[in-house]
Amino acid sequence: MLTLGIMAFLLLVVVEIWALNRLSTFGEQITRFEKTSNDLQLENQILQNRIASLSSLREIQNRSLLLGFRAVHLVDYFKPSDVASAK
Amino acid sequence: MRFRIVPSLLYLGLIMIVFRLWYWQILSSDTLTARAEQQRVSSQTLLAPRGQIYFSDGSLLASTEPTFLVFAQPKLIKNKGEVARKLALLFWEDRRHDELDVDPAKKEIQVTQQQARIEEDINSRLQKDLFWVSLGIKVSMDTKQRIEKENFFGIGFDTYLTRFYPEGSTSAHLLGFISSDAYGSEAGYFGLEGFYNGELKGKNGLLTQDKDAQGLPILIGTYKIKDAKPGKTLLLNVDRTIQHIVEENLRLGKEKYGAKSASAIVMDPKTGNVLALASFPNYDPAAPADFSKEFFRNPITVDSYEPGSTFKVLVMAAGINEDLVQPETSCDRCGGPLSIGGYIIRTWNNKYSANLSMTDAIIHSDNTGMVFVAKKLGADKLFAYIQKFGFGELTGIDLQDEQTPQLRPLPSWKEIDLATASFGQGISSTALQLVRAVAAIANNGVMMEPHVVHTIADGEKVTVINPREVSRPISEQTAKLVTEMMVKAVEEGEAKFFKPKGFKVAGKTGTAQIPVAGHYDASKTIASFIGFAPADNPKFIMLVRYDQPSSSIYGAETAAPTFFNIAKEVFNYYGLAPTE
Repeated sequence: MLTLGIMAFLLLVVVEIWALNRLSTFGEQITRFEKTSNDLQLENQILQNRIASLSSLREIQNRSLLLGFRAVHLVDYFKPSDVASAK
Repeated sequence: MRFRIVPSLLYLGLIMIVFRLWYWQILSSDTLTARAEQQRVSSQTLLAPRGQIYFSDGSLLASTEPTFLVFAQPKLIKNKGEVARKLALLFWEDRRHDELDVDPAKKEIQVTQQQARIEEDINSRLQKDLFWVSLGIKVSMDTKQRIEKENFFGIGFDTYLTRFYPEGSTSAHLLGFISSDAYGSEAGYFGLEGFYNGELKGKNGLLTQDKDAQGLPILIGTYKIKDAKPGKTLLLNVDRTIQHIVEENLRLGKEKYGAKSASAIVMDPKTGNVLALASFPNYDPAAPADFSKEFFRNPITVDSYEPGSTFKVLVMAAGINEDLVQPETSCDRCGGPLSIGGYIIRTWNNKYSANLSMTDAIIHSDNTGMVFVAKKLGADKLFAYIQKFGFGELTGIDLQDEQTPQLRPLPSWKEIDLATASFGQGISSTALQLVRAVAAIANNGVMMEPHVVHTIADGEKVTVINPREVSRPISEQTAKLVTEMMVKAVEEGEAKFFKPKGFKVAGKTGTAQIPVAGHYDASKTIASFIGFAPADNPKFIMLVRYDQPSSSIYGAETAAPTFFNIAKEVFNYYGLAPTE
């Protein structure tokens, strides 16, 4: 029983040493993940800004003018008497 | 003898070891621990982005954009010439090149020269006997990634968050700008950025962790993180579409009428919500350093001017509210110029009408009719109403740079001052003060505090800024009567040709001479138009103002057309149908 206990203890020590060693060498991977995550966040912000720029009224105005659209200045409103109604 | 010396030496050695351990672990403990931590523990600032600013429809007005500082460690770089050459190409592509010639041959020469200059600059920095040099600031993410692909040894990046404006340089006076304060920290100046700097600026965080000899994190070591707290988000009352309409028309109007400057403000009279605010000339909030300081001042909240005839509606409101005159009251001394205190008061067109009604005084902007009202009121009451309408005090708008001209103390008023104040001369106001005061007429006599921001959001916590009533300078009945007079001023006055058909608009023109060296220069005026629509249930009140227009000095021929051009587009935008 004592031998089994000592063996279990030694096994735990070995596992701990192995885990610590393994985790200690993960620094490079973690740095890479952090950099990727950070870059993605920054790129996300840049893309959101680009969407905002492309959907700005100035951009829409310029594009619509290039496509031949013109601003509506004259609007006709229907009056109730202009609409046919069935009784 | 030998048996004594050896143990003594051993004891001495032991004592020395104990002493050394005591020195390291007790005396020098703090210093050595600090030195060890300095080698092992690394601290990194976590940048907190400044708060975003949104228009009322949720579209972005101001955001943050990551940019990079490219730095080099010259002592680590061997092939400096090659690095400088490659970086120069990438830097050149990252910059704006508006000044390039259209001729391809000349353009090529220019490009080569510019790239050579950048390369020379980089090379000279790399040649310095320093551990760290900056090579470029505000470098884009795209360029940063391209530099990274080159795998230069000894080149690194620092991230910065700079302000980004999706709508370009619009709304400059509304926004303000970001710059460095005396301590080199980022701070907002003027406009919203200045007023809400405390809310918008975030709080940087800090990450502390153990790192190995290569600078990589040791996962089982120290790891302390204090998260960055981003700045609060502002949702404005400003309507993006109305802001765009106002800016476009104002820019065109300034050119068309040859004005020195132009400004306009649109507000909801029922709530005091600012729907649009623009002034020209303006500046680029993304590059304030390219402009002189005078451009930063917001003419609507800072510049004081004599409001001229636009002020008449307020004097008339005071007279009606005191029950001293009614719209149909006739003036028995308006048949010709008035002589007051050695000065002659004339009408703008030198035309006079005996038995002029008060409504006609507003329609034809008759100075003698207004002097009649002012005399009935007397200086005490007129001064009291000027104060009730909020002149001489700040409006409380949430923009940093608001100022107010002081009212001349009542004891110093002479008879001529009472007379000239009745038609808006000899009295100073900001455009915002005037709009707030006339908005009380549009809002049944209730004066509201103007506000630009609707909501401040801090994550889940949302603070809504509710409309705030300031005072009730006139009764509801007075407001209705003056509104009708202003409607007639639009339909029958000098600006009647510009009014859109079918819409009931209340308004008043203003042409104020500018005081120059103790007298008024008749050729230099501030032309303005203030009005609200639809008159029965106003959706907006607007003031358009041109400083020294050269095509015509009159508000009816400059500011009024711009006012109605903007109003027509706002009617369409709001889907307001004609009612007449």
